[in-house]
Amino acid sequence: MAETYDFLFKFLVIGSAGTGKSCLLHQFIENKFKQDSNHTIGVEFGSRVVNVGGKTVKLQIWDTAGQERFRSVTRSYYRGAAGALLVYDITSRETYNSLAAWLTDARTLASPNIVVILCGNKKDLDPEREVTFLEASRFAQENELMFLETSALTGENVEEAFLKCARTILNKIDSGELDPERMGSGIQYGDASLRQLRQESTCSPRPASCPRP
Amino acid sequence: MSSLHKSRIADFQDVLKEPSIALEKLRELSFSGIPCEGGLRCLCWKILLNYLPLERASWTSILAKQRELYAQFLREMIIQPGIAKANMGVSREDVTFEDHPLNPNPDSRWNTYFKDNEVLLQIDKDVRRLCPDISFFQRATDYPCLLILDPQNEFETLRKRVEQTTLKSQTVARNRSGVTNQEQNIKPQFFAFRWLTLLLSQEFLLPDVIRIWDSLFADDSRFDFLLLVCCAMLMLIREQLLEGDFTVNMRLLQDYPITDVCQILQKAKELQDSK
Repeated sequence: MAETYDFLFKFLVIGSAGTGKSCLLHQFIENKFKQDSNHTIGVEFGSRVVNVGGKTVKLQIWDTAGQERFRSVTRSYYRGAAGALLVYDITSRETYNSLAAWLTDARTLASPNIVVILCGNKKDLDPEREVTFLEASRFAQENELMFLETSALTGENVEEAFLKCARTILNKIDSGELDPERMGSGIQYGDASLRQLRQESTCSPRPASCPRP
Repeated sequence: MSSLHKSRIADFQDVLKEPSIALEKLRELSFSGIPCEGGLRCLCWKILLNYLPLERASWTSILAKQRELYAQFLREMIIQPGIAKANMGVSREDVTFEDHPLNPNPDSRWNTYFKDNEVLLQIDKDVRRLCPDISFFQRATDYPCLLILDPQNEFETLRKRVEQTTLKSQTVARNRSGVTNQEQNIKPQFFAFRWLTLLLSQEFLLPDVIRIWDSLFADDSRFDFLLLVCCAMLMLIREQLLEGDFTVNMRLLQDYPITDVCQILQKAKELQDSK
């Protein structure tokens, strides 16, 4: 049976290698921690339909390879993304330091309006922490990002990260700040909204457009 | 063991015992799969991959030379601080001015040793979790393979392969006989990138991957057949692809549904014969 949804959003998961991008996706989709995760080669996909503010939204998630050697190919996956999870590892300053470069890529290659949530992953490894919450939230504020610390292992804040990003996009659609009709917005209407639009047009007082049996 | 299988093994042994290996004959045999028995596969792969020359007489000396080279790499690269002294019979050393295990200096040989060991441990972990069910990957290793460790080397090989295969994947796209739906905009680089760069090793179980590689390595123009295998994979799920939407199709392509590799190889062979 075909799923019905109001909107489809294209999401990216980006960030340095080994920060747990694929594990976040796996936790979000399967509700489990992915043991023995391999390096992602190129890109992997996942999707899930979620309920946000009374609307059903299908998230089509592109989980990209973090390794530098794949950078040229991963960039080709960015086009037309509506939202992104920008992931670093709280136990690795190196992954935090490269955030600015990832962000530039996302804003130039996907869209300047892309809604980005910063995720400090591996929250469960607090004793090995190299990046403080305060420092990262300051970075997020300066760059107009939302921010959460997550754990793909325990699942803490994983769902919240995706939902928060989706909710912000929906709000921007409502406020007119984002136009789903614009090419490359990363947003598509789903069957449910199309049906609604169709219903509205059939119910409109234009008998000429309604063929009678 | 079936008599057919026995006679296949005999066919391989016949070809391999000649003083000069008939490469065409070996390729032809290997294309249909190499038997696992008696180290046949590793010998055939060495010849197919040009690691060993066709002249049998030189094999012993070449292998000895390669092993010596490897041992030499290990002696040069694996630093074991303190070993030299221990060999000279000095059991305790005065570390006041010399290098010692707690030396924080980045130039310290001990420091390098510990860093190397971290890499080795990571490699060991990666290898073990690669295929936990296969005993080969659970065996302890004494040393790393240095060629794998050398980042420059690995990168260069990968870069070249990616460059070539991306170009080739464009050919796949052109010859795809309308398998994928233009509207959905499923580009070959979304799935074929991994198929091509890893020679399909993430798409099937290891024994099946090895069977596919028998055919790939037997290809005289190195990996042309790979493209046909990828085409065959697409054609075999054509009907499903035409029905599915983007999400369903991407799942199909990154989690390939057919596990019978013989069926895939057969289809690829048909494509090759019809060229």
